Amino acid sequence: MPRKVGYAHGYDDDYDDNYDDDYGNYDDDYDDSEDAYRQNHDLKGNTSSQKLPLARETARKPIVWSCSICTFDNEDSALVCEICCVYKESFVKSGKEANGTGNNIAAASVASRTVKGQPEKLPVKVADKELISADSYGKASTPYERGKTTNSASTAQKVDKVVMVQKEIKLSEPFDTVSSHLKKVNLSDTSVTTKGSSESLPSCSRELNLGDRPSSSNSVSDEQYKPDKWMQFDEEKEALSQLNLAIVGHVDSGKSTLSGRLLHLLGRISKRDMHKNEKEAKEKGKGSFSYAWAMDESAEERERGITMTVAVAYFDSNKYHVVVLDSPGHKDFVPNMISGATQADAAILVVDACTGSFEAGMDGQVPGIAGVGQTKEHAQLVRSFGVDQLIVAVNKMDAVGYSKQRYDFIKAQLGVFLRSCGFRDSSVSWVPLSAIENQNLIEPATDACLTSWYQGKCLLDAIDALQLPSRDISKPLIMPICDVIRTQSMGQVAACGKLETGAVKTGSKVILVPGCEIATVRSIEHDMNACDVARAGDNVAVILQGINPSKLIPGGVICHPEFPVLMASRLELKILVLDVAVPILIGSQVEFHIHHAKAAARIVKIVSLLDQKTGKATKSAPRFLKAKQSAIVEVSLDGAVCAQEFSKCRALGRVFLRASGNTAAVGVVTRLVDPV
Amino acid sequence: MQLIRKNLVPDGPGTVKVKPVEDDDMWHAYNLICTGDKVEATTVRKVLREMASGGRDAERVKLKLEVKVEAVEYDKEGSVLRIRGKNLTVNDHVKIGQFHTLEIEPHRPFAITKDIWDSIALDILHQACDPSASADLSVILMQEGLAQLFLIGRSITTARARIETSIPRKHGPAIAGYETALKKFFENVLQAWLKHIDFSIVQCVVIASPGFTKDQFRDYLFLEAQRQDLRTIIENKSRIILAHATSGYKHSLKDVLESPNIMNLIKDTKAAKEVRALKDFFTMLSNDPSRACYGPRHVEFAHDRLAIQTLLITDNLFRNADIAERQRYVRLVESVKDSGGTVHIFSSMHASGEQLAQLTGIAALLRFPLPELDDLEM
Repeated sequence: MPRKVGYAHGYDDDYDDNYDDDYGNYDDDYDDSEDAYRQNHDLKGNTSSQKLPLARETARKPIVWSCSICTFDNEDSALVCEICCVYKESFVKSGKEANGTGNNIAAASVASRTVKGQPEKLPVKVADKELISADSYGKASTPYERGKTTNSASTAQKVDKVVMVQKEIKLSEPFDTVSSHLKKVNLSDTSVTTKGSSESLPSCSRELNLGDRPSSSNSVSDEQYKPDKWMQFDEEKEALSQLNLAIVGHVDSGKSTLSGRLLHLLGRISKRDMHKNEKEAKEKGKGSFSYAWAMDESAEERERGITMTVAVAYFDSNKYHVVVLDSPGHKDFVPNMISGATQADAAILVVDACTGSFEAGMDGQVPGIAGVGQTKEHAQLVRSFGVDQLIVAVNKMDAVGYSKQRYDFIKAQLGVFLRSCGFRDSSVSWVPLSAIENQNLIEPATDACLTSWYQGKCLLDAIDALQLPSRDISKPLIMPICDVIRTQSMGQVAACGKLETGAVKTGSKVILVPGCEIATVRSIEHDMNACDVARAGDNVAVILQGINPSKLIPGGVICHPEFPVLMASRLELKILVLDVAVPILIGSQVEFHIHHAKAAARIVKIVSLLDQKTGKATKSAPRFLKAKQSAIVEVSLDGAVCAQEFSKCRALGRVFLRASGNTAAVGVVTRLVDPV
Repeated sequence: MQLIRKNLVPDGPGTVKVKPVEDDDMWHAYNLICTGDKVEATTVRKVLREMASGGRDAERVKLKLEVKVEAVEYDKEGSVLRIRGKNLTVNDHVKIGQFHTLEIEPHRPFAITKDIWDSIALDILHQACDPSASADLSVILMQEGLAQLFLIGRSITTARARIETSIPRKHGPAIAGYETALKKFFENVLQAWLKHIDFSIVQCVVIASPGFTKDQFRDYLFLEAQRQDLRTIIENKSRIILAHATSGYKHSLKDVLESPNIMNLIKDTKAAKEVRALKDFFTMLSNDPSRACYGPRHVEFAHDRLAIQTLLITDNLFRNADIAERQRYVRLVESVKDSGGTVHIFSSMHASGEQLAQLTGIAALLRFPLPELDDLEM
């Protein structure tokens, strides 16, 4: 299945491959996609069932295959290389082998491929719907049930059920309704699967609800890590899970006002505070800023009327505890936006509907001179943060008289760009609204002009419709420090940030990198409320004990004491060059951003140029890199930063290179050259 | 640098006696002296003497020695040149062939004897002895939490101070912590300012930063100057300029010097020419990449086709210990000049030179496109 968009292969890595492909098929032609889905899992179950005798002995050892392009060791279950997205070479072969063993499923897939005459394309598209019989599933999954119920087997089984159910109801609904079916089936089908170990079911079904993303590859060293009981998700206690939502967009598009208004409507700002803000804003002659001031608290920001650093606020929607990361839109504060908003799970891209303002956001401040506005830059950045779900809030609709024409124009223009960034149409939702007139925020619009043509979701419903990304609780703790708060009076020091993997509870020991100091967690706070346990994905403040406060700096990482992350000052990256005027040369000086850390860096080596589509190296040691090229490069940093290969830890493996005030390239870490 | 005596044949042997005056001159002297040259200067040496009683007695004697240079070391902070070599002068205390290290400081004359005074060496000498006003400029490059103070001279840029503080982001009620941290940070920058900036030397001070940090700092500076009655700042208000920088790191210094109002101040200085030349190179690279190249291999490839219009080269390539290598670059520079091209020799002590040094130290703008360059590996 060829990708429809030309955005680089590597930046879609964060979609898990199965998920990715299914989604892609879904976009194409819906009828096939279910089969593809089913087939995909069936193939998986099938290949693993062949390996079963072996699998018992080697249960602890990861089975890997080496990518023919980048030689990266991928997990066996991955069909596509995690680094360069090249298809597993032996994949076609394995299909043939399966044919030999008498299993006709793979044969069918091969046959259907040859019929279509596209043997090199993704082989999961199958035309024949009747091939998968229930007993072939039985064969594949019963040994698993006797052994330990692994995820893929039970998933496959459930998927089978789903498929059958859906055949009956003649499915032709969008994917999210499919997942709701999945849920229903899970409920009805527990009795069938009780042969397997029933305790593992909740976790399986949870993963299924998340859009079926099997947990990504564990590194070899992490293999011996076993999560404790308390780390597991407890569904009864915590009804809502946390969603980190970044609010991004061009300067003056109304990000802070929108966040402030949302908080106010949801009752997170007391009447007294609101009144105070209103009064002060009026005194300064900036009446329209009263909501933004709920977010912009520093005197400097209020004075100038722009946000300078990322503000954090909390509200609860029907489905989630939402952590709002209100980012600055001004060009000069993009570094702040990067270091503050990398933790986002999803984002709202706010665009200004006013004539001229939207255009400035797309093409830069100065009309006539081609540049990149922050609407574009932020969208690209947010995509490379690993965010795949986006809500585009078309703000200030009141200023254009709620014109459908203007909305459609913006949707068309921006839609093309977002697609080229790698956002899927199906995961981008569009909401026209007006923050200042309170249209379409938490309840459907009331203005007749808007309701005459828009009956879709309001912003809050759109937030609820977001899917939670998978959380890696089973891996050792990693928490990049976004911010450090010192309380002088108490002598306390707290590190704020989002847990990327693992979990932490009061009293557990953690190690701080850099410095490798062991500290004890005294307490954990979420939105000023103490909590006992924080798990992957939660945005919390961790108050530490027994540590030199000066060692605690933003950009550091809190880790599990036995699994500290590595530091490196020389890294090999795979980058995609964005729209830059000046090409990247050997020796180019850039600002290097990784999670919450930043450093000055320079390119020391351009190893090779990569082909956009295949990910193969096309040219070694080129002279320079131009816009839209992707390449493997080596950078050397001023000081060491905490980093990890993207394949091991996504959050610590995403990098952003900026030069002369623009984001020059985004990429992932492929290798630490001199890990310390 | 003051030229005291000059007795030489271009492209032939000769001796020059000079007296360095400023810090910049030490840098020129460093570039002038190569291994194999002879340097004569007054120096002090500790001499050990055996007493009749068998005891030892150390004595410091002032001598005039000539050494054959084996290594040259430049101390940026102390502005001292250390020349290590074997003694050539006959005297009572140091034998011929014994090692000695000469220390050259400002206001101490010395004589250099070279076998060949090539065009590069003569250029340096000429430049060093040119008394045109130097562009002494001070730049404070800052971003929230990081500030660096630079002094920019004619051919060297020195980093005088670096202040780094962690400033918390805003977090609800912790906003007060942000303001105090910022104030503390500004206070440290002000201290560095008072320590390093002398308005009798520095023409003007540029405060550069992305965003509003520069404005915030200027406001703080003037307020503090009033409060503490800092006469130097109050009197020189007009010599303090604001400029936009894209970040607080050193490589953004280039952007600061490129901005038009700063460019005006340093118009005719070497630093300004270098900044412009490098900018031209990058502009060419983005507009017509086949007319720009870098790296010794590519530049020589272009030179063989007589394609070089402007050659950019850093001075550290001429400081090469390998004499043959130096000769190669000298010949390259001379032949580019002969074929009607221009040559910019960058001081590796400036931000622009530093950047060029990282781009392999050599780059060129071409007269006509050479698309073949793309097929040549770096």
